[in-house]
Amino acid sequence: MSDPNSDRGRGGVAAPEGQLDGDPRASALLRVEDLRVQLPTEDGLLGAVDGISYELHAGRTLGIVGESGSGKTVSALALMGLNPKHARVSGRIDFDGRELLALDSQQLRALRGDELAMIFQDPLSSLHPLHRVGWQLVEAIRAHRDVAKAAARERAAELLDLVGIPDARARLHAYPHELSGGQRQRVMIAMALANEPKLLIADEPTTALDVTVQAQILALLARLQRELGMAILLVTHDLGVVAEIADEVAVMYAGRIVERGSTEQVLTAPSHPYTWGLLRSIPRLEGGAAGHGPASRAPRDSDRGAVGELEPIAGRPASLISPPSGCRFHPRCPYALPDHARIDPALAPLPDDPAHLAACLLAPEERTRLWSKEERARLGSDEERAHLWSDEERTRLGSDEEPARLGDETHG
Amino acid sequence: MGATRSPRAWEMRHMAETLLEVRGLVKYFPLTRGVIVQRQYGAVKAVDGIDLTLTAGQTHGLVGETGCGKSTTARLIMRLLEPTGGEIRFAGRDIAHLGGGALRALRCELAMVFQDPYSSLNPRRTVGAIVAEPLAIHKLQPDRAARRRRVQELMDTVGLNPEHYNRYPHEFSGGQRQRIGVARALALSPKLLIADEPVSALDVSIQAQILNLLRELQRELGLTLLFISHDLSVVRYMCERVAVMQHGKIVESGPVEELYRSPTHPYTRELLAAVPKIPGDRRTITG
Amino acid sequence: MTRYIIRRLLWGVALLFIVSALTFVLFDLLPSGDPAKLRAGRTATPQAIAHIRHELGLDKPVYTQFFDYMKGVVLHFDLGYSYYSHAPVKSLIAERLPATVSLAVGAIVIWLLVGLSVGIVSAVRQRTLIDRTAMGTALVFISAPEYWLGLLALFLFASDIGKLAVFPGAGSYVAFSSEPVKWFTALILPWLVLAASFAAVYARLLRGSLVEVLGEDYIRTARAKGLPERRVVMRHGVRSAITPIVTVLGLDIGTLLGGALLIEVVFNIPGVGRLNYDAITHADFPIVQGTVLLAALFIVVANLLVDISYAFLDPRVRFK
Repeated sequence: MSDPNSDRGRGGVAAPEGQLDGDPRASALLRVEDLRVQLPTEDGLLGAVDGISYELHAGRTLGIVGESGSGKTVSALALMGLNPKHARVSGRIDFDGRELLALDSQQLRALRGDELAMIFQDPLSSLHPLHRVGWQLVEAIRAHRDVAKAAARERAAELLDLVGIPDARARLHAYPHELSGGQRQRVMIAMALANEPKLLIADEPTTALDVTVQAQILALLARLQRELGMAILLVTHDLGVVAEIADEVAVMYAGRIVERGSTEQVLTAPSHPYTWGLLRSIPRLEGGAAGHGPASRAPRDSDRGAVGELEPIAGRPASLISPPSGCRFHPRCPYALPDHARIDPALAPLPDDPAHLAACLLAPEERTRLWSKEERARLGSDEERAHLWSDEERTRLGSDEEPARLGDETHG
Repeated sequence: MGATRSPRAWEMRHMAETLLEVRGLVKYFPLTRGVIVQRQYGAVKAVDGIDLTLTAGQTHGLVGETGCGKSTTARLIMRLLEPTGGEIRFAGRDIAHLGGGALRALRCELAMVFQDPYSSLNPRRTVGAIVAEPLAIHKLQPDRAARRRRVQELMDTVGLNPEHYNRYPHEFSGGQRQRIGVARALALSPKLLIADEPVSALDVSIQAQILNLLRELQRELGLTLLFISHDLSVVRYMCERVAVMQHGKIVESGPVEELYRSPTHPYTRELLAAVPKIPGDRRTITG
Repeated sequence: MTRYIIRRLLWGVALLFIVSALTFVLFDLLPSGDPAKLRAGRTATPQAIAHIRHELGLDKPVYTQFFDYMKGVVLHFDLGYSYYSHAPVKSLIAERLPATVSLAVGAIVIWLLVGLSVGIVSAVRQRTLIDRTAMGTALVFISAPEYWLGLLALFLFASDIGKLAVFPGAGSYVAFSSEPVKWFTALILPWLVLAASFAAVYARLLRGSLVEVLGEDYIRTARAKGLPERRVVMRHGVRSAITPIVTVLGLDIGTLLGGALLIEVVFNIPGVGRLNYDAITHADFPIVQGTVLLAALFIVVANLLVDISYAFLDPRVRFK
């Protein structure tokens, strides 16, 4: 039986679609089955979340990745029961043996802030501006534990200490606007951890923070996870963040999960054109797609474009009120075939890795081939790129770089 | 796209003239206290003595975290603020303390694209009016029809449908609004374009579109681009040279690849180390 | 903070000076009855009028009059003598003040209780029937003129002229010290009428403010902590939404203490407002000057208190 705390690359949790009850190993802390959230709007019924399923075990981190309009935040709010009143939520959410959607508001409130906690994106607007930090922490504690104020204040100071805020006792008297962005997020984390939750949901926790602070917060979350053994559901648009701390990742598009698997697998051998699109539209710190690397400055007598341009995903995000027929991604997919406008693919496991699933109508072998072609293009090989760009652009490009072979782990 | 190469672009790239030179630039915001008479007891040193050189046709990046002074620097160069000290030489002229008519004339040569596509466009004006405004203010193209044609030409250049001339900002997506901002910035055919975090508020796939647009425009029009961002990966993609700012000072600067590969200043190292890496980033074996 | 208060007080004094000067100038410029003539009566001879005029000091140039007046105010706290009733303005105002204060305080208590509760309920039950009815009713009370409401109330409920003789009619006011019960019952109708439009305004204000606050991120955080909804609405929502209300409240209190003129007239309550009204009709300038100065003083003080309280309500506010 695998130790959930060891060895990130394992990913052996997500059982194939439809077999969520069958895992003989440790049962999942959180099991989401066919979750749907619909929001009535003036223009019609908006299907923000349209049938997603996943599992999360204690001590593990699942990253839910998507752009705006993918439904990732709405799905996270659904777990906590924090969607707006007029939202229609259906499906199953099994948390530690309880069916969350069947609970009444009182029972759900008992769980919120206790076993199930959430932190949000902007810590300045997510903390009450007119109450001191200590007051807000004490409130979080006393909402679920019958303790005296003094004892709660002690605990609050302990929590601030735990999240790495120096001079914790003095900080209790501070107002949120008197703290820095990083400190505020730590306070939010402290508040969420006040009652030692089993599951922490983090909605874009570092998006509003500087990159160095982001690194600290992510390290903090990882450390707290190890110390407290809690599960983390991390919602983000940033693949880098997912790469840093998530064990598994689910990629969402237009209210659905289009790919799911271990972080390592999904980011190095993705099997869905949307994931490919995301990966090739992100500028990297290392490797190919260097904007103005030495190669592009080689003297030439005609101006030419730089090596490895980012390739944005064509088209616009899908409408959630009237989504495209068939495969929802097909209008933007460079590999779509006419059939794809009619058939809606289900999430299916890859033949060589049952823990890695993708919802695509192309055959898995075909996808593997396409991905290696994409990779070679991104890393700068002329012949491969010829198939993806027009002639005109090809004549402008030139590469002095030797393409790295796949599987060549040379990054340091 | 490859066919239309303006003569100016060629000129700009190969003359290697210094377009912008900043020496010892300083901006202090005073802190005052006092009941009737206000006394100054200190200052916030937003920009504390920086040097910057931009060659014509080049893309130069300015990187730093919140509060480092990069946005203030941009506003000083644009002369939206007046420096407390130091000099700013644009095309040889010291513009640090220009005023009145000379300052207004300068506005035709410097342009800026802002971060927030939602608040940098006046929601009560049509897109056409927004892009035409610089032309109207500086009395270029007095003929209304000619102005309209120029605006539509600009909209086309940035990838917008010129027929949407009469639409309002709220009818466009974030990425399209940012394009409108770029069109507006280009209206007066500036020599220097300053982009202050132009893609930070946009989704990942839209970011790539706008970044590519800026690169393309820079090549086509021979623009000099000062690109300000907190995102090191984006700066690497866009810029040839970069300067790293911290607490109002530039701690390190140089060609992008070199600086990223072998940073010397500890802060630069800290910044680079903090950027999350996506597996699959492989170092290419370059010459 | 003390520096801030001192500075505000200095400005306040300057303001009062300006207000006095303005009143003086206006009274001089605007056509009104000649106080000497009014005082002398219809059949007075020109000499008698001139004599009275001299007695009242009205033959001196305007700026001399103003200077004398200000000297009296600043040095002796003397607000002059009423032209009409030949009594010191100060004592006239002092004896009328308790009635005004009684009226104001009672109304304030009622409108806060009613207005704020309605505002909260409306905001929480946004867009339901309750909300729409409440806001619609509020709109009616805001639009209806005070004196009309007052007359209507008397017409319906006054014991002397009303359809249902429930409350004492106009003119029944007595001081609290003499007959507390009668004082109370006589004030009920005026309180309700005065409070009506204010309550309506406050209900709408709080509803708007609270609806906006309830959409903020920190409310979502409060719910995420598992707090009971009541606590979320009151301790997190109303706590934030109440600050604009406090500003308005301060100004309203300041204004009311200067005399709720229309209500005092309709219900014949001997307050400062009624005094002012009578003085205007008699061109009894010193009284008007006095009441205006008093009203301005109340507003300046109320303003200052409101601004100071803001610092306690919102820690993000800093004094410069």
